[in-house]
Amino acid sequence: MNSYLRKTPQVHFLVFLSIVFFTCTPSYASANAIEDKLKALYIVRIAEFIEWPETTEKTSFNICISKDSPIAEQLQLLQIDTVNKLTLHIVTLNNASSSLDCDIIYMTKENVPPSITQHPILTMSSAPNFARQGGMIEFYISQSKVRMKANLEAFTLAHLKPSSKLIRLLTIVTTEEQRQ
Amino acid sequence: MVLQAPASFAINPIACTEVSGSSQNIEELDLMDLMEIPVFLSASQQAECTKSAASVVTTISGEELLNMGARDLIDALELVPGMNFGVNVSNTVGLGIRGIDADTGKLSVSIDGIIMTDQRFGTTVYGSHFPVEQIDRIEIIRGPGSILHGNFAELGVINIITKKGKQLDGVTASGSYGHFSRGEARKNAVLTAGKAWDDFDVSFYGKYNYAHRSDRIYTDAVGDSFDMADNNQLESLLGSFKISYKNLNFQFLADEYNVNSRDYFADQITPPEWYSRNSFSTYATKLSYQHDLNENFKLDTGFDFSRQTPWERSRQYINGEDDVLKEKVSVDHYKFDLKATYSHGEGHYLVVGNSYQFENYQHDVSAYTGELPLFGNYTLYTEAVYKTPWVNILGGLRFDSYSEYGTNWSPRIALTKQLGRFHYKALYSQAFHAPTGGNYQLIEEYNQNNTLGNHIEQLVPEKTHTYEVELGYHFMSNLSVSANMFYTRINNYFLYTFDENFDDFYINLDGIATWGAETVLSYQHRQLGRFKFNYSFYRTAYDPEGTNQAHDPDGNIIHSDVNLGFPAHKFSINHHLQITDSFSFNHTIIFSSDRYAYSGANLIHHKPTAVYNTYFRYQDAMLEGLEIGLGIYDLFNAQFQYAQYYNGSHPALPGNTREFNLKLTYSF
Repeated sequence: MNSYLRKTPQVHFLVFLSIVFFTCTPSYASANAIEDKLKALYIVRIAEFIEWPETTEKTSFNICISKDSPIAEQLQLLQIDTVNKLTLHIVTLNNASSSLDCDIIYMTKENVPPSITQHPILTMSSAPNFARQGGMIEFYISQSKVRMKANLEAFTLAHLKPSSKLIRLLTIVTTEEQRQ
Repeated sequence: MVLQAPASFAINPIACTEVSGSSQNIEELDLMDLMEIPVFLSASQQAECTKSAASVVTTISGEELLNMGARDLIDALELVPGMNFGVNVSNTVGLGIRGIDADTGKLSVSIDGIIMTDQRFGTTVYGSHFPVEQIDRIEIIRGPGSILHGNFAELGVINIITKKGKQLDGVTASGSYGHFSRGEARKNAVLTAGKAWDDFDVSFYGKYNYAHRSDRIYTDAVGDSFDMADNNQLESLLGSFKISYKNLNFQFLADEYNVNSRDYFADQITPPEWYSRNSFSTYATKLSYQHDLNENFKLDTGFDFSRQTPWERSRQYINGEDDVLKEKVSVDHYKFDLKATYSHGEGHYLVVGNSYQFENYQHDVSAYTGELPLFGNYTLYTEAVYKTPWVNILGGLRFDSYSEYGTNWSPRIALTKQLGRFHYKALYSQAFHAPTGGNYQLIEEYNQNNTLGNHIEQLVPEKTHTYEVELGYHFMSNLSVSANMFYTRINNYFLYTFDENFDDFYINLDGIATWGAETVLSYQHRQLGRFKFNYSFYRTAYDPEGTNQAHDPDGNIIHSDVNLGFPAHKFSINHHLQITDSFSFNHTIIFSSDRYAYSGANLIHHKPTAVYNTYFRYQDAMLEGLEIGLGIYDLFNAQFQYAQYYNGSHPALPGNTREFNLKLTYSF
């Protein structure tokens, strides 16, 4: 019995290996999957650090994002149901300017549609120069970590107020610099 | 004779996710913590991740511990594949790994790199001992880690990493009270505090715990019994202070743990007039400094000192007579370590290190009248990884030169890779386990005192060979599966045993081996919550003497596939449901199949057991910072038995009945 058992582990290893190698087809995840997931979490978490205009009617918190963005998939997969005690909805859209019900919009382009700049909608993007061109929060990578630039004028225009705790984490930029 | 690696064998495990395929839950982090996670790993970070990936690893986060309402490490480690708890002696409970008793110096347990496994015998005692409130994460190697983690890492490594001051950022006070069906379960108080100022980081935690192992009736092998309710105290006081400035770290840790018992060492209980108390103390310091010469090259230096007094045994009289100290032996452990790491930008790395350590024994009260030698050990170790698109090739080698046990070479080879959603690991490791001073002493003591005229040879070191294969696949970002198979053989296996006069000693067996498989499935659902399913099975592969197997009165092996005290199958579920932002529900099920163990000379069949625990956690309850937790443990009164892993004639120790536990925590 013992001699049989001494041989079986090697046999089991081979069978086990064979089954998995022939049944699993490796698919290659994005090299930036961790970056996308981090940004998705930033988008959700940052809402806790923003003072939004008082309203009694809201029951949901809407994060709008282009369905083509890889971050959209990560947002859909998050196991987070509420933001600021409101039910979280992830809304995929193609035209940001038509979405005045959004609380946060993640944009793939650097230009913020003028139609939403004065509404209490937090605009975010990873597009370079997004904050300098009137966006509120721009993701960038520094020392291999996700960091944020912010345009406080854009916040003021939209009647949003970032907390002092959040401001300490941000690199502040202005639209004036962009005009120069 | 233990080589202990620097504090952690992995960087933030989340950062290693892409490399190792681990499944740390990133979603529980707040914004500040998220900002610490690297998107692209530096050379040294990649090296650390690759190193951790070259083992079969489980990580338990501090948040998971709080969510499940873990009362101590037992609640958490019961959910780890390959791990089972069983009685050692005298109301002490130890750990077995993959079907083998690990409580004989085969498992390295440390807190922030400070080794807690007792240097004298290599045991670690569980049960209301190690606090969980301050834990950032527990990193577990479910397999050998001797190349970097030393003599006790023969079968596994448990490294408890506590929170830094930056993570604590304030003060937290906590207290809990638990009650079994028939007696008090536990009451404890915990204080944690921490703060960071620029490059300074300071943290402290302390816990006092008074508990009982069980409230059931313990019956010895001859039919005598005693009621364990309020009668088998576990008392612990553990504190730690950490301070760091840039790359310079200092930690002091003090641990006092007392275990009262009437079940005593073998098959009969103590007389009603007295009971036995075993005390375990550790006072330890650790000083380490990391010098980053540049992005690719760094030097780690460290100095560790500990004084441990394990298994200090005294007789306590019920009528108030003075206690009688029966044995007190202390061991001072010194270790100096210097390690250089070169990391290439592509993730290749080379580690070369060496250490010198020695143990000095002091016999205050002991039946042994001789002098133990100074146990010294010089170690040289190296590990290198070369990465290719399809395989990371790791090779490691450790050389030990022991003052009492000669020299040894232990190699390690690992082939690993993460290929998108798929990862594989093929691992081979040798481990070398030299006897401890306690092993040495017990044999000398036996030869000095025994009346049968038999003399026992000193132990020769164990040599372990382990083969592991792991495959894993992330089907979706919320569903992953990994499975491994292992084969472990220990040559010159140490066996604790005794003669017909109950004089105890150790001998070497030819060897034992087990093989088996472990699977982990993780699944998250937006509405249903987070699930972790674990299944593992173990088989005896080699035990020519049948020493670790169950025999009937005629000497026939009852179950050739199962070692004493271990289930052939183990299954667990951990489910966490976040109902609202502040309210969560967690429950666990731990199923163990049939086990066999001895009570005296009688073989006992322990039927399958399923223990169900549930915990409700309410954060920011009524006021900000206040947390209320309510746990019901062993809800269905399955009443687990801690069976003994070897034929030590000690009957199984009854586990607890249903426990209700209320926990209050306030952070400010």
